[in-house]
Amino acid sequence: MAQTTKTREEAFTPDWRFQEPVAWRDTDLDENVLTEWFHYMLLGRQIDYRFQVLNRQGRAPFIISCAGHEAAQIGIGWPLKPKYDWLAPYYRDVVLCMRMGMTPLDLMLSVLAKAADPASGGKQTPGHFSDSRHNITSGGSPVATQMVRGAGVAYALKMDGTDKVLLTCYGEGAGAEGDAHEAFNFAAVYKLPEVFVCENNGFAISTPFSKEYAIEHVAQRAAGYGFPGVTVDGRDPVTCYVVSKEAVARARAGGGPTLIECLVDRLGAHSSEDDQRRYRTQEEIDLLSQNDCLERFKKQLIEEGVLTAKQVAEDEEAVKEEVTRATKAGMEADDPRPEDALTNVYAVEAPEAIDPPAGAETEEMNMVAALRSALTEEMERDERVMVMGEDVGKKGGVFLVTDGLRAKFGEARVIDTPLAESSIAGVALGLAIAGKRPVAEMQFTDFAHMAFNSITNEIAKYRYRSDGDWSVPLVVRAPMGGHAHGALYHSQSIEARFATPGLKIVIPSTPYEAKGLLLAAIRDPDPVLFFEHKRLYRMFKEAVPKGEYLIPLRVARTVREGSDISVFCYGLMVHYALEAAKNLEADGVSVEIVDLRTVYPLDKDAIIASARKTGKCLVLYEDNFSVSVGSEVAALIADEAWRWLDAPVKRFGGLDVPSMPYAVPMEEYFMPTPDKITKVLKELAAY
Amino acid sequence: MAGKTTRVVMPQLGESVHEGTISKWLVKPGDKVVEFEPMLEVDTDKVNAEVPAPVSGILREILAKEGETVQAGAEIAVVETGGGASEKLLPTRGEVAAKPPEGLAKTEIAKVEPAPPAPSEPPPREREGVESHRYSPGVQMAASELKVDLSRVTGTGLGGRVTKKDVQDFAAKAKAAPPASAPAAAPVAPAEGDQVVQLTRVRRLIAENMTRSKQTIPHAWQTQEVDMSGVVANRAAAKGAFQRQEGFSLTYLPYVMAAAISALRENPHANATFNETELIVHRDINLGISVGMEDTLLVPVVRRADGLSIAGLARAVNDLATRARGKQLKADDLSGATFTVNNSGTFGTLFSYSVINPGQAGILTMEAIVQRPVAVDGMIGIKPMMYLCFSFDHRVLDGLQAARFLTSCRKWLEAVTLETPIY
Repeated sequence: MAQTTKTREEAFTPDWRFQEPVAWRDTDLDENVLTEWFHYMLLGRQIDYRFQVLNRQGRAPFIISCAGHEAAQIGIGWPLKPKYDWLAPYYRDVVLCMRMGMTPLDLMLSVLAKAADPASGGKQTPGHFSDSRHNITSGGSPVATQMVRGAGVAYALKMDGTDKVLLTCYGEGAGAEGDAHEAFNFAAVYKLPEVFVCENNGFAISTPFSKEYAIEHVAQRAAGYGFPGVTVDGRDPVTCYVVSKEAVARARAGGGPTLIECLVDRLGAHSSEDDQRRYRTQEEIDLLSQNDCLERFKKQLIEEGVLTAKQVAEDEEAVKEEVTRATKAGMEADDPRPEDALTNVYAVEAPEAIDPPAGAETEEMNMVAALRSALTEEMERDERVMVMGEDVGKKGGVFLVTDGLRAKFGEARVIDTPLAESSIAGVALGLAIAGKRPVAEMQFTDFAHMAFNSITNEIAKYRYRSDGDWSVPLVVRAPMGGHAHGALYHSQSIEARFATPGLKIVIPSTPYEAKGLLLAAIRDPDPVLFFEHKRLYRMFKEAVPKGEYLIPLRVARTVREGSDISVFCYGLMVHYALEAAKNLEADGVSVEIVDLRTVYPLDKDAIIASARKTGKCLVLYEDNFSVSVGSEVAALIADEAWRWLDAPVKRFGGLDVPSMPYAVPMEEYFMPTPDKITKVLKELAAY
Repeated sequence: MAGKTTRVVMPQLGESVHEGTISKWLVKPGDKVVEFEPMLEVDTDKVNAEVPAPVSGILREILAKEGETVQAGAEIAVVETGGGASEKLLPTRGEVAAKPPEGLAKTEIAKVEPAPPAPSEPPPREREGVESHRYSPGVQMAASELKVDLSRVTGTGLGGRVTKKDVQDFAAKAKAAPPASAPAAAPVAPAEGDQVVQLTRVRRLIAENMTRSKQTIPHAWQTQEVDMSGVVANRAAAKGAFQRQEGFSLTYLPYVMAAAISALRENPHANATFNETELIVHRDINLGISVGMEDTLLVPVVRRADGLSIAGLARAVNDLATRARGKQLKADDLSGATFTVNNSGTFGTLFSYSVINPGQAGILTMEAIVQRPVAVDGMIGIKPMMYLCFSFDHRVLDGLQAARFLTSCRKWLEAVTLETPIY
């Protein structure tokens, strides 16, 4: 019986506090550290000025400023160990990234979009810091994505039994995103070694805090998730250090996440594209400079005798020179070549075919069993492999694909996630960049839309936007397709919608194929979307070898040889096409069937070869008729096989309606069925 | 606002026909059409037929223009039939497409219809129809690789389109049996003042059939002279009553047909088809009758002609000729002849070297009946004489058998007396 009331052992007290200022002499800090901090802050500010100059010179089309955030960043970042702990930064974290190991030259190369830019090789706008050497994850522009990704990294760090910590930063504006919520929740549930840092400067571009939050302090939110929140004056690096040190220690000790809110000022506009005078008065702007964290810290150091005015002036000169050297070196560096636009979409190498061992024992399996066999064997073989998703644990997934994995491999490698698809994908991304081989499950392709940004904007672009610095070996599995009375939200074919360079999309058609393709997908260095047709799960059994065999991705399969018409299809449609092809035998029409297997990117050679061979092509799919993978196949044939064609390239797909309707007559009407396919093939044969 | 409408579809003009070319619209949009009254003329394989309106109403739209070749079942016009109901599509597109030519296309078209021929000369621009002379890139590539002259390939695809498979089949057959034909004569460019007459579909089909006949059949020819005294007397005695009873006049043609039928019974190999490796001797005698018209030539068929009397043959011929002139023939009236009788004598000819219809062993031509001095019992007499000319396939018949056939005909005609019954 489910409990309807919960007895509490202690009263619920939101664990939030405002950290009162702490004097540096009451901490473990000393003059040398403070001097070093001052240098970092000066560097940050000077680099920021230089960025603005380069922007006004037309050398840097876009810049984004850290001015006003330097104190918080150095204080918060100081307890982290460079090259040991991890950072999921946001776009203002110039000082934080330098603290973790990046240099002024690295930043100049990025702002000048040079080939040697370690963050992206000139592919991303500046501010998207990244460097695997320093455990700085690559960021994209949609905000809060670093938070779910960071949670994945933190999960991996914890799984590995280290005391490494991940620090995630975000602007308070990003706190409104769903990903922020999903990340807080996931980190809390799994008590991850993570510190969330909100650099609250009061503006999301122009939107003031009062229009973003209905509470007084961002950090008060932490209580709702079940971890502590601390608000601190971000202009005071010492106090920031104190709260960070506490949070990092808590994370290292397995105590779970903390949310730190640093109250900072944004001294300039949001970016070079923004004019803050549209939403801030001159009075406000003037007031900001009086409260400048750098000036305040400088004054404090001189007053407290840490540095003399002369030493400060010398350091300021030294920093200017350092930045000038970096700027010159940056300007002299090579620009990327135009064709570098094509590099690092996919890894250069991918797993090759491995045949089943000679005389391998086989077992009659349906597709569910074959997939389970692949997951089990691969998890046994490679301890980095893990599964995650909704209900994948004890229940074994809604289709029982992961049945038994929890018992065999334990909770850590079989994660029951909250119902939050964006974080399922985002966490998988974090796991993958931190060295795991996650196989994430979306309960249905229909629900994967909740993860659309995570998959197409983050996962797909990760290798490219870091210019090959990061690799994302992960698989997202999802049951797809209709003709199983799943209606609008349990039937969709989403392969075309998700097709994005950087991703591979695989749709197996038989149990044998499913196992070999899934093994290849897991071992692939690039992210693979693996869509399994629900109707095929238990439609039939076939002999599936035990043990390892790999079917390479991006290679189509000729299921049936023929000479008169080629049918290009995948998934369930392969079987419907086979049935239709038999119906045409009596008419003496010889139909060739090509199973695309990997629907993105396409095996162009196989498609072109078959199209040229027969000269008559039917592209068959159950996705919407328009803007489908099939549309792409048809266009490819028109481009590359035109001179061989003996009939217009024919497409046959589902209806152009939003999704598959529920009632059987309407569902039947939507679906390409063997009878309908037969008719289409006969028309094509008669053409 | 729009009244109830009916979509007129291309009728299937005969079992073996699956398409037709619209030769003439007899009504234009806005005109009144009356159910069962002719709406348009359609050219099929060999027949030019009038197609009656399926409903009465106002022709609202013509969907298939003159010169277009349209599949049976395809929509060709919209007729507004009045009433307020919304427009109803009669056959849906799917339903129409659901009756593809299937298997019959290959066999029957190849035999009966030499298909919309491809132009053998370059300018394909202002030719009638569209599909007939446009080749898919795949067909052009296959033709180039296999060195196939596309103008000689019979199309089995949609609208008689030449398919890649047709080209491959053609090349395979050509390889198996290299054609004996000489290359076609070089095209002649029209000189100044010459009139260029575009060939009608029927004209082109006749041309193809005749060329095929002469290219594939080794023709041989014989003639015998027949004393027609008995036939002339018999007809003269019977024709008045016949005209009154039947409503049309009795000609000499049914007599000659009866003679041919009798001769075919005695010489069955003349009623046969030469089939490369075998001879198919037909049981039925289906007699093709040449009916010459102003601009064309039709050969309608009298089926199982051996069961008919002279009057019966006369009726059958009259029926076919009337319908031919009224463009009411169905394609099935034009196919399946096993032997042909030609009556060019009505135009005054004395000797005709007729061309055999492919698939038959011979063609018998009756020439003009002429009063001629002949030797009768050692004296000069005047008699109505007629030459019977016989073109025959030398692969089927030798001179001896041909002569026997002709002799049978002659003897039957010369044996006619006043007592010979015509009913």
